[in-house]
Parts: sequence; C-alpha cells; structure tokens
Amino acid sequence: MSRSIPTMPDEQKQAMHRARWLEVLWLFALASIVAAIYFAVGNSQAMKTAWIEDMLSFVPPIAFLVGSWIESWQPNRRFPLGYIRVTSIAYLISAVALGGVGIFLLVDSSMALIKQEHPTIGTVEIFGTTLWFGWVMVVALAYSVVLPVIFGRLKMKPAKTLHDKTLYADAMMNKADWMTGLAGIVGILGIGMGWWWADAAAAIIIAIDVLHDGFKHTGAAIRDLSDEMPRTIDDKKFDPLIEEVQETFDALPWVRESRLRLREEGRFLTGTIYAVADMRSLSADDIEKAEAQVLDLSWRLHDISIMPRSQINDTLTVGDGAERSRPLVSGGWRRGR
Amino acid sequence: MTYATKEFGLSFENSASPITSVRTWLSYFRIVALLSAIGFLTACDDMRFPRDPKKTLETVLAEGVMTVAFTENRPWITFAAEDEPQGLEADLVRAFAEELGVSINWKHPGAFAALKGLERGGIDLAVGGFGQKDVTPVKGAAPTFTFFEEVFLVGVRPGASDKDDIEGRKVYVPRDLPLRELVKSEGGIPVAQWSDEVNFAIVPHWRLEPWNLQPTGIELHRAKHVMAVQQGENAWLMWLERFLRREQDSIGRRLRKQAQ
Repeated sequence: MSRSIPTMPDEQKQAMHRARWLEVLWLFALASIVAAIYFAVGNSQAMKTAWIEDMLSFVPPIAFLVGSWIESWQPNRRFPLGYIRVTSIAYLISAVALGGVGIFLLVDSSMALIKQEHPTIGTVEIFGTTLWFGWVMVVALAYSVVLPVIFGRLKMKPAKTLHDKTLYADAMMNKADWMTGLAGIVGILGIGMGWWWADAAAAIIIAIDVLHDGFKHTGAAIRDLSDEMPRTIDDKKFDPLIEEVQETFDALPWVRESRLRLREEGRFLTGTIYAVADMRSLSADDIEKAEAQVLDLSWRLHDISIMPRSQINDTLTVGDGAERSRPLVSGGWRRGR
Repeated sequence: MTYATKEFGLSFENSASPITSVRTWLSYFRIVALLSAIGFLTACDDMRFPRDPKKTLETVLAEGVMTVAFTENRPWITFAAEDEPQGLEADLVRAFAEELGVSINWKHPGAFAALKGLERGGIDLAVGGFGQKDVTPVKGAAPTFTFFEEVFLVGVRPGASDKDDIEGRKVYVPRDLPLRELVKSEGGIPVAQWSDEVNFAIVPHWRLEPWNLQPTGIELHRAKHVMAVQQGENAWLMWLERFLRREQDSIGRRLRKQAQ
C-alpha cells in the first residue's frame, strides 16, 4: 500500500499514502451510492444517466490505484526508465472512458426526448403509507450528492501535492457531482409537476457535463503524451517550473545561450537543456553540478540532461527558401539538408 | 444569496481559506434545505403532486366518468354480451370508480386492443387479467405494481402416494391454461378431464383449498397481475395504486369465493 517512488520527498510519500487510502474508502462509498441509485432507478432517464455516471466514477480511482502501484515498480532491462509514465496512461484511460460514456448518455437521453417517452413513476408502500416513488428517487439522489462532494474536497489536496492528474480529474468530477444530483432531482420533481420532458432534459444536462469533462481531460491526456511543455495541474497555463529551470540554468557563468525541452511523464518532468557554452573551461563535472542544481529545484524534476552544442539552430530552410521551425532534437542534423 | 451562487460557481477553484469553504458548505446545505422544503410542501398537497402530463386524473374527476377498456380473461373479467363485465377486476374497477365518485364507460375493443388503445388515448384504464409481461412491451402503456401474484403449481389429491413426482402420471390441465407443454417437460401426461383416476391437477395456488388439493413442490408458472394505464400519467397511477394496495390482501379470498 505504501510503496512509492524513492525519489519523492516525505511530503509526497505521505500524500500518496493518504490518497491511496482515500481512493479505497471512496470505492466503498461509491459502491453504496451505486446500490442506492440502483434500487431507486425506476423509469427515470435522469436517474439512469446519473447511475451510469456513478458507475463510471469507478474508473478514475481504480486507474489511480493501479497506476500508482505500477509506477512504483523497479526499472529493469526491459523498462530501463522505470514506469513513471503509467500515470499519464491511467489519466488517458479515465478520460477516454469519461468521454465515451458521455456520448452514449447524450444519445440515449436525446432519444428519450425525441421518442417522447413519458416516464411512469408508480408508488411504494412505506410503513403502511402509499408514497410516490419519485420521493424515494429524490432521497437516493440527495445521498449520491453528499459523499462525492466531501471526498472531492479531501482528494484535491493530495492531487495537487502529488501533481496527479488522474486524482485531480477524479476530485473535480466528484466535486461537480452535486450538479448531477441536483439536475436529477429537478428532473424527478419536474415529472411530478407533469412535465414529462423535464426528466430527459435533466439527463441531457448531466450527459453534457460528463461529455465536457471527458473531452477536456482526453485532450489534456493526449497533449501530455505528445510531449507538450508541462502545464499546471488545472491545464490553465505553462508550469512556472519551466521558467525557474531556465533562469537557474542561464544564471550559470559558463552558459551563453540555452534552449529548454521539458515533458511530463506522469507526475514527473524530464527533459534536456541545450546550451552553447564557454567550452574552454567547461568540464563534465561542471555539467553534472549544473544538472544537480536544476534537479534540486523541485521533486518533480526527475531527469535533466545538459547537452552542450556549438550553436542552437531551431529553424531550418526548406526548398523554397521559407523558414520553418524544427524540433529540438538531442542529436545532430544530417548534412544533406 | 447572490454571493452564495457565486461561491458555487467558483467551487472548482482552490479552497482558498477555511472561511470560504465553510461558506460554500453553508450555501450548499441551504440549497438542499430549500429543495426539501419545496418537496415537503408539495407532498402535503398530494392532490396536486405528482401531476399527469395529459391530465387523466383531473379529467376523470371533472367529467365524472372514466373509460375502462377490458378483455375477457376468466376469472378476472367475464363478459356476456350486452351486459356489464363481471369478475374480480370488474368488481375492483367498480369499487375504485365508487371511491372516486365517477361512473364507468366500459369499452370492449377485443383482445390486446385494450392495451394498444392506451397509447391512442381516450382510454383511462385497461383491465383483463394482464400480467406485467403483457403490459411492459406495449408502447404507451404502463403497468401498476403487481397487486396479485398467482402461482400455478401441481396440486395433488390428499392421500395420493409419491406426491412430488409427476413422471409418467396423468395431470389435469384446465383448457384455458396454456401450460400443457410445461407439464410434458416435467414428465407428466396432460389430460383435459378431471376424473377419479387422475390425482394431479394444475391450479393457481388460491384454488388449492376450494378444490381440496394439497400443494406439491412443482411450480410451473408465476403470473404478476397488474392493471394498465397510459404511460406517464403518474397522478392517476398513484390514485389507482393507492386503491389497489388497500384491496390487495382481500384478492385471494375473493377469488376463492368467486370460484365456489
């Protein structure tokens, strides 16, 4: 349970421990919610949609638990870099699951609306009184709202400490769950008011919310795996660490010019710094010291290599004389071009 | 309340300070409290909640008449031409109409048309010994809860030997029960005559006593009896179900009485 990456500081190790326990507890809480909704689902489209959304909520915590377990595996001959990237893959899996089900829910709810299905909700006998079953649905939905909001808040802190996007997406989904529950409740009360379309409309709103989350996170996960420069956990701007690394490195006395290439591998950052250096005095020792100095900036910096070059040329001239930017690659360039 | 909604809108952001998060929680509970208040208020006035999208209940009460489509299905509904339908469900419908203080406009559209008619409208209630499985697939029709579950089983004369085995034995299957194949698959020989040489008979459980039979462990079929209303007419359905819940305990007794 408590195995984690040895290079993480104690604060992160503790956060990891806490996050894993939180997710295990959450799985149990979620199971109770899914059961409660299952018994109250009846003929309501919104309830069905909310139920599927809750079922879907199993994916991110499981992806996180499995991902963070695999992440701690030892590097070996086959995977010499270790398994740190598995977190990004777990994130992608959660995000795609979310988007796929979002599409399904949207189609399903729209069909209910187009076919003009009038949801029928009967009665239930509780303690000798005949009660409209809609009230049972409302209670089940209200229950399904409270726990996710609490857990969402609890997960947010370790998600930020660990810079774990799966956990963060999970926490966000949980926090947003109150809207789903509320939409469902409004849908049921709408049926009670005699507006047969209210239920399907509420279901569509829930589905759009799920789909939106799915698209947002799938995009972010794909960009991460496409070696995008690191972004903050909410994907709103570039990670300030980039600038810190650049400044720290440029302050070294032997650096004339430099370019930085960083990528996210799960919660960690790896990358290369290309430097035009004052070669007369530069030794391997200087380079290693500089690397260590950069790595000291943050626990997230996992692997930085410094690549001294005679010049940094990030454009290339194509046949018609136009200039195009070329990728920052580690090796040299073929002379033919 | 304006700041509360604003807090909500921003709840994705960092939980900045403990005070902010307490406020968010307060506003959250306020919404829940508001919703429950609306709920309880509407619940008290149960005449108006839930309501029907097509106003069946309102119309029936206002016009003082409900239209009931029926199909014959003994012993639930029996019908002799030009007469009012009789049988257990016909009695139930009359009692329900009396409770509402409305009269009944009986319609006899023929088998299954009673259910189909619900979707076209103009019919408030369909009866005919329907099982839940008959109603659910019909578009536009919605079943009530199962007000009576009928278990068809093999009954045996008291004193007969080998009570739980019908292998190779003659079993009386009434003509109106489509259970001959099931009896064959259990190894029995279905016969259409109830005579002294036959010890076994297929009966619904409520008929064991009047026919002086004992139950065996062999159960062939379960029928979940429902009535049918138009889909989504939740107020109407609720009134009907409330009535049926009061009556459901007496149904076995009534069936036995009717059988005698």
